[in-house]
Amino acid sequence: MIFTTYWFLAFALIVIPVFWLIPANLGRLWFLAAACAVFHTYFAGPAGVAPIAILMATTYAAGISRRSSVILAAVVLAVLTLCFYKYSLFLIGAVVTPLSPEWGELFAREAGALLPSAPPLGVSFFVFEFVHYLLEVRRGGEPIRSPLKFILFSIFFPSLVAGPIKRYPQFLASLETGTRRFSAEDLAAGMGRIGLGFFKKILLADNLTAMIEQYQPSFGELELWGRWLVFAAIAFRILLDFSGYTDIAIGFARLLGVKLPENFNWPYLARSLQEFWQRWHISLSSWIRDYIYIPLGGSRHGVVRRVLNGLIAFALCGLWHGPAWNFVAWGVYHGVGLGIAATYHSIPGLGAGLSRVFERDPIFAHILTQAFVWFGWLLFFYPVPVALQMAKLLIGQ
Amino acid sequence: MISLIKRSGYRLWQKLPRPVANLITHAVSISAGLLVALILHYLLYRFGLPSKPFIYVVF
Amino acid sequence: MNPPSQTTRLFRPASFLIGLVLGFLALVLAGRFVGHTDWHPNFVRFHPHITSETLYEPTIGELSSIIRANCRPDQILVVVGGNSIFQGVGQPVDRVWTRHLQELLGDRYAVINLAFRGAYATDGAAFAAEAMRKEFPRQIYLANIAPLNGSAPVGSDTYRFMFFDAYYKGLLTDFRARDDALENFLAHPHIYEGIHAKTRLAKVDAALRFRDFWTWWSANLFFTFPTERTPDIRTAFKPRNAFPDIEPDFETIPFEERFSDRFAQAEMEIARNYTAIYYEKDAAGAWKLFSDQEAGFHDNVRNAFPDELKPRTLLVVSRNSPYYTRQLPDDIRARDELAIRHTLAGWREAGHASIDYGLDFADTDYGDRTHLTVSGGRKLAKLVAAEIESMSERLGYLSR
Repeated sequence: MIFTTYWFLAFALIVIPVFWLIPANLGRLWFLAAACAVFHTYFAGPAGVAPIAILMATTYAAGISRRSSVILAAVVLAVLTLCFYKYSLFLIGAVVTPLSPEWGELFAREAGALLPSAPPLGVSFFVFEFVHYLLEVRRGGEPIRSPLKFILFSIFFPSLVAGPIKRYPQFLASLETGTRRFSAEDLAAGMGRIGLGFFKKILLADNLTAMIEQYQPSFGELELWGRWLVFAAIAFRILLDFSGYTDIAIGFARLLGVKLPENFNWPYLARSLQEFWQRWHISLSSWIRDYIYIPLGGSRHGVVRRVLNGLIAFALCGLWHGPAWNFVAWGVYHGVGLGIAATYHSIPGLGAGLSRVFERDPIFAHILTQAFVWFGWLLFFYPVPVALQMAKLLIGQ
Repeated sequence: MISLIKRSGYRLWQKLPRPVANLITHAVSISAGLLVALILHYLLYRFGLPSKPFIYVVF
Repeated sequence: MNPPSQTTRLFRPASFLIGLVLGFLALVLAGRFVGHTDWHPNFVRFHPHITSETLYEPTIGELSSIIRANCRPDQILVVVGGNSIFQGVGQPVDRVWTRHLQELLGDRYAVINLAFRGAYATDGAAFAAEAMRKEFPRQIYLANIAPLNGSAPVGSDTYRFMFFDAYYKGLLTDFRARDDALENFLAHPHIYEGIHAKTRLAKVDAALRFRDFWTWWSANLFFTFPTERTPDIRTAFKPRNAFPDIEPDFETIPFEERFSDRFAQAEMEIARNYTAIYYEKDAAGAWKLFSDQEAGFHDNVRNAFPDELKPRTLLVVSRNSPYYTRQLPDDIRARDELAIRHTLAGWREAGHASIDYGLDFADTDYGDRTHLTVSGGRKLAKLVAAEIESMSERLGYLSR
């Protein structure tokens, strides 16, 4: 974890005070951009810097051009970059190998030779941010003309590695106002958020991970209550780990006067799946909604299209998390759930009955939603057969 | 239920005399600061530990 | 919740920051305070649950406090360092050899076992003894060492955190060779990832005392995360002082089973090559120390301990179990004996005291190739006690 390395600690302790000591009109933001570049180069390595540098240049130029064809070409380039670095081997295995194992092996070998040992740092995040930027400009949004501000939008170090996925108008506005003057409120809020994030990540999530690693291999041998305890640990571990990391990112940004978007809003309080996705990884779910679901037609073309669009959007959402079928399965699982959640009330008799129950006693909706979400985590973390086996063991088999 | 608790809490909060409310907010904020100091101090200790322990093997 | 109005909002930045600063100051002071307290009542030795093996890293303050708690000002301090052999692997805590050493030396001395498994002669215990040199000027430091082995003045990679702790808190005496070794260490990349970062963090720790505070917390209140050796979450968070020293007793293992085939072959090879890298045969067929090895050994010896502390330092050269050495050809046994004589001479010529052990030990005095049983420990204690008394006389400790 980058935020827990000594290098990052030293980096932050130097960069943040120096940032505020430099007068605003004498290059404060240039210093920040340089620091972000240093951060990125250190953690990404030379092989990791090239993709983002190239995409930055093409995205910036395409945005300035404001020409639809150029923008779309830049979008395609960004998406292809993500697919190449993150999904090449997966797609070869999924598409080519079933048709021809020999060709699949050849492609995999060639791709393996071209690919670095790990995808470029933050590729999933910066590609999504570039796509957002380009599509918004294409829709009439004002492009970022200042190279400095574009650089900061692209490689802002607190959110570079694991989000939240930024929206450029809000980011620029915050950059403009927040970085002008140091405020005790930002310092306090930032430190508090960082403290909270580390508490959730290091003290809670990491210890839950140790518990899960100890007990999950012998899941079937545990008592029923023990299995449910591990199950709850799995659900809370991902929430604490991810939201903790986001808290740290938001905290460090706040120390620089920048407000990043919130990414979690008590998701395990959600009483419907739609509500869950408005509370969980908000920056990603809203991106999926705005740039996949709605362009596919959203809910504007009838129930069937709505459900189908949701399935596609969430399958891609799942795939975004990692190049593996269990992530796709998890995404489709949520797509199916959302489809049911959107349409169940129109089932004659049963639908209306359930709606009434949920309205009268929201606790049932809450339990059902969370049960669905928590079972979904089994698909997210484990191969499908293992996840199904664990689910069976939770209901006593 | 939760919104009921929230509404009641807010009403109770509004009923408190201002000096008491201020005192509470300062106390809560100071406590939060103390807690964050504890966490950050702990993190410095934790950063310094190795990720893997030294495993002694009797041979 | 509807946000409170401007005048009654819950979060006050200034108060939060005051709390943050005060909290940090309080923790720094707490760290300084606990760093001077002894939190190991009934201490005998550092067992696995209070060492690096379970990610518990003792501090120099902790070691120093153990010394203060167990040695009166009128006593001669005897600090036992070294590795698992001197820590007493295979000897249960109530019969560890250092207890017998204490019995032999009597109340005039205070024997404190600060050895760590896998440690060098210059590790932890040595730095603790050095840190206490002014408080306990009548002190003897002893550690075991293998023939012709040196010991880096900055200790081993595993336990270097104790060196950093003592060094950056200004507890050590001036010693040029050690400063040079540290500089050399910092100037080069290291296979132990993060070890240079630990150095810088140790400098910060000298001011902020987080290691003292949180090590105390881990020992007395609760440990904060599971480790490889403490993976069970039901016990992983227990305070480390709650774990007993449960060292198994070699003597409960039947002799025939101590040298099982599984390890005996590998151990035999080690015994055979114990001093092989140091010697070659000359034209007449006699063993001769390689000149570069000889020079290296003397350099190591010269640079291991500060000059002012050499006279009070006793290096105890270890032999392998006779079960193995008896099976070696005569010329290899002769080489090993020569190596021991060279080692003794080398350390003594540099101003240290040095003895060896194991020559007249029986098979049953060893639990494996190197570690002693309780009976072996008693024999060791007798040899060491005699030398300590001799050193005390030489150093003028007895006349005070």
